[in-house]
Amino acid sequence: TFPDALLFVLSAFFRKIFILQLVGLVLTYNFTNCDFEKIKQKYQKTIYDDLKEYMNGTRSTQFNSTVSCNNRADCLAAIERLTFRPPRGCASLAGEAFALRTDATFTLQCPGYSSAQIHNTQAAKKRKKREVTTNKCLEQVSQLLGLWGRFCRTFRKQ
Amino acid sequence: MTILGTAFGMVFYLLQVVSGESGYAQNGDLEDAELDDYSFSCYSQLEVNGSHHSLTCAFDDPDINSTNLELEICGALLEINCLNFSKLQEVYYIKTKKFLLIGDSEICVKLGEKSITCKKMNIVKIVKPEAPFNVSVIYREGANDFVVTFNTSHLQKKYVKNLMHDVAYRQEKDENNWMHVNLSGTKLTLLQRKLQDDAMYEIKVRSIPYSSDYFEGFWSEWSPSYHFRTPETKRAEEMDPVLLTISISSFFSVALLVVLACVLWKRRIKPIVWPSLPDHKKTLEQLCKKPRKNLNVSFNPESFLDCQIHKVDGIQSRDEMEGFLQESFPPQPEESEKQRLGGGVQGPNWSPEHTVITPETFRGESPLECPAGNGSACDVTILPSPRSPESGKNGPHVYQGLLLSPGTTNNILPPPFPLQSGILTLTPVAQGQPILTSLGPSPEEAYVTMSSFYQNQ
Repeated sequence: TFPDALLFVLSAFFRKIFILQLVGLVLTYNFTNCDFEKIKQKYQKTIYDDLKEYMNGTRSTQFNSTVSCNNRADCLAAIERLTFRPPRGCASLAGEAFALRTDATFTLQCPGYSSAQIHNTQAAKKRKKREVTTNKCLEQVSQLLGLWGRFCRTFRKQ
Repeated sequence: MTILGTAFGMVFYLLQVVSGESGYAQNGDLEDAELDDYSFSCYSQLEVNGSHHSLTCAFDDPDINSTNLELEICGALLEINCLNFSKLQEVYYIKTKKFLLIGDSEICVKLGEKSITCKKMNIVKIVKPEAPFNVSVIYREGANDFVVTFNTSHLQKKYVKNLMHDVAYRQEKDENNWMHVNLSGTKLTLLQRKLQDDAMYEIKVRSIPYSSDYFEGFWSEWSPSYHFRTPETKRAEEMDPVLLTISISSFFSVALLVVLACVLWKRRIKPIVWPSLPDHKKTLEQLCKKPRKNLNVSFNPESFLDCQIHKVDGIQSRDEMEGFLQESFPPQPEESEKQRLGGGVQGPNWSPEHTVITPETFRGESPLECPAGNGSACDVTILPSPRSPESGKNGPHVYQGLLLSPGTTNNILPPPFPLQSGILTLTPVAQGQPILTSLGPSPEEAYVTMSSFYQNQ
């Protein structure tokens, strides 16, 4: 019957989602052992200017802050997720200068990170045309600015 | 034989190859001359042309033949793996936006496809800032100092913003005696007293990335020099002539004031500042001045027996007085005895008209003047006092609380001499009124009264 079939499909669907979440948890890098001071310095000297340049005059207060983090490692994980796994509406930011610098920073300052994101970086390099800056992407970059600022403030207290 | 020849050939070949690869130099030193020949140095300049960066490299040995040599950079690049340098004479350079600015890059010297030597470099650690410009020096006369200002293009850059500046200055005649001042801003103040007067100076500036910053590197080129001359300054001993004149005149004025104060202290200043209290004896002496000739002043009433005494209770004008005196002073000594100056003692024939006596006439010319030789008769001892209607002729006469003896009632006393130059008027006085009245205050009344009191006693 139709309800039985629907139940079967939905259960398979939710099962897949559950498995993917588990995989994501397992494969997410643990940023606890990173050199936070050097990451902060690289962000302040290079990545911040790239993010501001990407926003290109758009005020960050235009968007609501929907993502937050509790500690340094959590902040870096959120930054990594938003930078290299953007939600729908913004295809990818991995090819942008700030994303490449973020990747390089994590690779240098976080032991064991480099192998996780190189493939994404390589894929971004092959792209010939730049992604059109959509409003969704601007919102995402605004969230990134908030996360990086939170990371610096959290780092200052600890 | 063949084997032996082959063996020797191989030996010689090996010797040649070994000697070639080991870099056997002509001087006999077994050095790796190929690597040293291709050593190079690089520096980077970020945002030198808008958002474009530059990387410049050159071989350390200027004599090297770099005709077929190329340089390549790989790693720490955005979106690409490697970049090739361009060549301009003996210098290799790249202009690009694709520096990652994070992590190390590898720069290799390539001869064809073969890398001869490579070096790892971090682009952010070999930054050479652009040279400062617009150096200027302004002299501030009020502050006695020189303000040095200059400009740098890094103030508007994104990455290399924090620089340390080195300001060097010297006197032009001192060839190598450069003074150095380090500062992080673009403004410097030089005190005039630390510079020579009336001398020409040369000044220039260079910059380097701040050592504690993320970016590091080398000194920039020197800015163009600026030349300025220090002014002549007046000697310390020379003072402004106007100020000197004012100082000297003030000193002398003060000295003069002090001398004058000392000299005139007793005579002029002290009486004003600390006036002395009047001495009653001296005051009395002043009051009772030596009379003129033929004017006897006495407090003995018997001296004035021949004098006509009129009551005086007011002061009028002089002209009026003179006329009045001519009319109202009849030469009747008997009648004058009956006339009293005070109220209450008044005869039935008392004229109500006023009689005016001036102080002059009163003293020397008045009818009160006693004829010569009758000075004793003109002595006046006491004034008549107002008598109540009830009291009889022979009753005691009281004047201001003093008791008159009967014998003195016939004596007529002139009114007290007012010191002020006023005119006394003679008016009829009602009974009971005081004998004498005057327009002005007469503080000497008390003295006269007291003296007459003692006389009577």
